[in-house]
Amino acid sequence: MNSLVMQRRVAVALLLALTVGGFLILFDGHNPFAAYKVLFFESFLNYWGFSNTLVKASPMLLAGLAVIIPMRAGVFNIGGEGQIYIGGLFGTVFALAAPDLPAVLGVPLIFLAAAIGGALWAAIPAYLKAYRGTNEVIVTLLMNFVAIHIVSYAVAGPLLAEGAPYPYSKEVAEAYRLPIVMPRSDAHAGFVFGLSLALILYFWLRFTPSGFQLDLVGRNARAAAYAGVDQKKTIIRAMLIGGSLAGMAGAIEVIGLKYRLFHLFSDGYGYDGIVVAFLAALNPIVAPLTALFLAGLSAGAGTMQRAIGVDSSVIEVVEGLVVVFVAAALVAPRSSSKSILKNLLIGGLFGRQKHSKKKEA
Amino acid sequence: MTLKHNILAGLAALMLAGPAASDDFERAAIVMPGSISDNGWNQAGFEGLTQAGEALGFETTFSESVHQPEQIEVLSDYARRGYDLVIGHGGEFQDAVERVASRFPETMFMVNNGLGTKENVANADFYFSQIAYLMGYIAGSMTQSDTIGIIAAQKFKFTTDTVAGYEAGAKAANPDVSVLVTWTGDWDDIAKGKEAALNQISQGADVVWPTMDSATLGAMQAVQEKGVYGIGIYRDAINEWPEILQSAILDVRGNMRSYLERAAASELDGELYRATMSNELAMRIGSFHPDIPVEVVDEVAKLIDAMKSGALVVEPQ
Amino acid sequence: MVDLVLLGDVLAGTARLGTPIAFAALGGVIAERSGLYNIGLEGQILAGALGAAAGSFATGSALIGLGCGVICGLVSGLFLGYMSIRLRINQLVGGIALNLLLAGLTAFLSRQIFGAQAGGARVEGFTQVRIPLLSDIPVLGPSLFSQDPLFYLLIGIAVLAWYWLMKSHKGLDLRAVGENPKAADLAGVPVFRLQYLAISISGALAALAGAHLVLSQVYVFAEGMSAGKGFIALAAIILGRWSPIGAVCAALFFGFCDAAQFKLQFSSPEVPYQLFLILPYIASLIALVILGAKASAPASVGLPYDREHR
Repeated sequence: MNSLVMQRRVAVALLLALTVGGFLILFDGHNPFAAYKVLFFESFLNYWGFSNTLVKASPMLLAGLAVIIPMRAGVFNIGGEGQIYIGGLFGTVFALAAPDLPAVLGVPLIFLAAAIGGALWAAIPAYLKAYRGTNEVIVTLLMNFVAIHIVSYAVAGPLLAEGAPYPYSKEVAEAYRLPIVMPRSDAHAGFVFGLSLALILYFWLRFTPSGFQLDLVGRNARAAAYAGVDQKKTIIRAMLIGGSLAGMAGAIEVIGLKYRLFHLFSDGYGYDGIVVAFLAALNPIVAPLTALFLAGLSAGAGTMQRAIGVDSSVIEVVEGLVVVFVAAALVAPRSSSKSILKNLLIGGLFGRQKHSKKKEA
Repeated sequence: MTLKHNILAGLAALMLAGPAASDDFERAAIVMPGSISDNGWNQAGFEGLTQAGEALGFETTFSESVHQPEQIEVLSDYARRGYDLVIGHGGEFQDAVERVASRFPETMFMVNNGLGTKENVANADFYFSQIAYLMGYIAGSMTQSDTIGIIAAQKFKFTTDTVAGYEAGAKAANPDVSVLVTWTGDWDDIAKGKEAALNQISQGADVVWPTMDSATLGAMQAVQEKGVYGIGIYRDAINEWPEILQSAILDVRGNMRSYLERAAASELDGELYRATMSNELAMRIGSFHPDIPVEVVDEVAKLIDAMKSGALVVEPQ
Repeated sequence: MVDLVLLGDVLAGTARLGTPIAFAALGGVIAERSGLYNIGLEGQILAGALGAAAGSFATGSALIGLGCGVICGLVSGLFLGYMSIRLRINQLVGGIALNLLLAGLTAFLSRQIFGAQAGGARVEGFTQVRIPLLSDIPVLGPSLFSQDPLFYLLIGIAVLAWYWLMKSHKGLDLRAVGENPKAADLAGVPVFRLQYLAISISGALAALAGAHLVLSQVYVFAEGMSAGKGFIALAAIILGRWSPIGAVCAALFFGFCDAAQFKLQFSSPEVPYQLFLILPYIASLIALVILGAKASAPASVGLPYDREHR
């Protein structure tokens, strides 16, 4: 499918999703056109709005990459959320334990600590998957809950800042904070960092033998075995990379945005990462775009509430609709159906089935 | 790179020259961590601001379910839109408010249940220990089993203050009482709230005080089913649950009203506005259950007087 | 003697906390056996809860409420099926989007339906039913045989689902679709129709979980009251090895750990409470490792079936 067709399909899908959502906004007593104007202008075209989009896009991008890399090896890492938490915890502990290093040394070490934390958290499901065949989806999912409670304990117990009115840690040293890329806003360098990682991973997957091995194991484990690829090692490697990526997303939230470790500091970014990854068709180079899209949607939705007063529950519905429709548009069309519009409007619930039967007859 | 930088800085300057703030107090916004229909903390904050706005004649708006990563964005956005007062509803906003406040010196900020103040950051909270002491005293007087319970979601300063005050009050009324404490880890999981209360009851507690948000509903359901006593929070809950002995009315609306009246008169400063038993608009007890003997009612009245006069000081932890 | 009382308490708590997870997990098993992931369980629990609350609120009848909840679940299941089967959206993305959509929609609608009372409007629900004789058994009796009707319904449905899935013709067809849709198609099995059937039932079962929360537990609807139960159900599916009975057992095991952790909190207040809160998750992980649950997912789960794809 060429990119023009794809763009048109996505545009039509967006239009459809927004039309459906528009009725809800109308029902809520607001002008949908005014609301949508805010949604788009404030998330991408407005300086502050775009800075908010960037803030959200950085953890989403890394969490997306944390799904993409293991998935390419056929392992479904649903544990990005937990890896973000443990990464944030490790990064914070390091930053608080060694507050006096120069930034050039301290920041990379914080990222390293966070990556180790995330990788350790991913190592458990990776080992169980590779050597015991345990389903990785359940292990990573359960470990998310465990990680959130561990951080909850840490910030309410040993790391609790003195006199804090809410469970959070002390502030990290000023030298360790990520630089701001858009002056006077909160848009930190996290997205740039994620972007460069996406590029590196793209080239790694595409042009290096170890990158090929990943895809080979993911696509055809038997062929990989014939080719002499160690399947277990590849799975573990992919999960460790995924875990460290998510872990670094945790560090970015701490030293880029909050400057402290908070209870519940990640708002489901690990799960957003799954959407980012699949909308990007598991291609690291596309992930920054889908992360920006999802982040912009979320940032713009927030402004819709503040500027127009649209009920936040309606906004959630609109967000869900947009993801559904765009995901539908990105599915490669069947040979018989030419346009998504036709697909959506003409085809009934069981239309597809009847159609095929006729063809067979 | 530098060119881009300049363009961005220029754009920023352009955006900053937004609507000039006027001197009058015209608009206030509240940012809440949960849903405005949670029957608890968030609903109280939403109604507190909205009702005060209607009565005092200023425009109000709100953002609900604002989670950690969005706090700074939401608070800054309101400041940028020229709101005169931006309220962070809960201690979790303290840090974000301080950061944003330093960038918008013209805007007044308030943290409900925060800690510490600045030039343009005020703080309003409750003297939780006082009212918790009273609740504990009543529970301790009424228990037949010498066992009472308190359920809270998360452990941090205000909840530990509440638990400690409750224990102290109960011990004052009945030195033999033992106090069960359950942490559910979730403010809104109703099923968990119910389970926690059922557990305390089966453990022998005959007075249970749930202090969560939505999850309180589940706990009260258990209290009703098992025929024990409950204690209300935030409002006079005996109207909804006849099993309630007494309610700790932490009147978020009243407390907000007190400081919003100052704000409307442009007299709100970066100070701590703490609701004590002396400020009935903000913190008071509700109706007594008919089962409570007159002596206990009288004793509670005396305790309140002692708190007001300063003769009884319940130290926060 | 005290220990027996304690055990009875924990068992009763197990039934209460485990039932909603078990309903949702059953729904997940049926969907995955037909080759479709249902990540939307969490949202469908909310849909069922709202439907049940609204139905009971409007008519004053818990039974009608139950019916409304199930219908909401069926509709949400059909919608998920349309996304997965017809539009062939990635099933994980579709499910996550459905969760987002239903979380918002239920909150929005509850504010429309219950108005200012939202979050506090009490509705009619079921009361506990004591089964004669059985409920007189010490310990087990009061905890397991004087539960609400939906708990008994769960047991009935679990057995029925097991029979249908494992013993009936249609169940065999359904499993064949989940393992190898192409072969099933060639053998004349109506692949898409069965998948729609399975995903609708799946939604209805998840909705029963929500109805249980509202009609048997707390008698109100609250936004986000599913509180992650749909995700735990996903784990229970796998822990129960894609068997209806297994999934229900796994869900009840989870409920048991959750009920027990409250007891443990009392006995050792000096231990950080978070340690107890993670107990159910840790216990499930350990169970998974000990049981050595090899991945035995239906072979084609998550892969959209396309007839024209050769």
